[in-house]
Amino acid sequence: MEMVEEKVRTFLISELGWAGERDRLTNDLSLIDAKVLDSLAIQQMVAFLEDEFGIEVRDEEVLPSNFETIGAIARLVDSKRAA
Amino acid sequence: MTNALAYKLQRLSATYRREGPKATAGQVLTWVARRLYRSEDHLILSRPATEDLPFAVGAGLEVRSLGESDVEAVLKLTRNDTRPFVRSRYPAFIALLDGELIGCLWWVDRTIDPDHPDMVLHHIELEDAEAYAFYLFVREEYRGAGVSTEFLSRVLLELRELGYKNVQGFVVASNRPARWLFSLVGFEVTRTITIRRLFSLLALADRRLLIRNIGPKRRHAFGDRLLLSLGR
Repeated sequence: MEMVEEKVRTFLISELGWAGERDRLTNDLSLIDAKVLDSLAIQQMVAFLEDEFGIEVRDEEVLPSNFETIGAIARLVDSKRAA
Repeated sequence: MTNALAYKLQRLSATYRREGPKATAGQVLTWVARRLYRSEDHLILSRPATEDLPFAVGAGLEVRSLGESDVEAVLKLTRNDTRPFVRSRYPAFIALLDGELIGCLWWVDRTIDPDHPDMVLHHIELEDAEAYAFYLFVREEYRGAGVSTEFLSRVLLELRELGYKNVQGFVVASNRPARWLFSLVGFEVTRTITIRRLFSLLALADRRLLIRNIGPKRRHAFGDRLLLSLGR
């Protein structure tokens, strides 16, 4: 699971314009409060997760509860891969 | 020539230059097919205006009610799409950044227009102190920077100030950015309606048959009216 979190962290920095320190992107930092995941970035994030981890994220799963933090995203990916 | 037609011709021309005649013909066929028959799911959304927002709302935008002096700028911003709303004297909120108009969001309540075409199409009947928000528009270059989220959040606060207790709206299910935006500020899906359109003229929705209001100057020219209902 740590690997998922690291890949998501790298994606946030390289593609979604996270300009702060990498260390600040903790697993429980709210990406919504930090204004990282806006309505366009969420599209990119979902496409990234689907390509990178070979999963399908359904539209109804694109909810703040699944994408609020890196930890929540990793749990979503993990649950999809386990299914 | 209507704006919509001019826009389509521009897109066709761009496709022809970029991809050639075969791709252009394919695009024309797709448009024709979509005019003959189209089916899409609409999600009806609702949110108590009295509930606090799940995050601190930014103060970078100026958000205020649409005034007479703003109308021309809004029509220009929305490429005249909103002219029927102006004609119907619907209220709207506008967003300005450094004095420049960058967005608008329109709304009604049951006293302003109980027969708003969106509400007829989606079978929505508003209660007292309930508002229906529609046509959220933010200039393209400002999308994706949290501007829409701040604008929508501020509108919710404004509606609460005006005494509204609940706000409804809808998004097309396949429009993921819009779904995300509305879910971010706390809207929940209350119903899903499948809209089936025939010849861009008739709509079947929720066991009802509706027909497009034709004629740009007709009241509710932007939507449908009910022809036949088979009950819910």
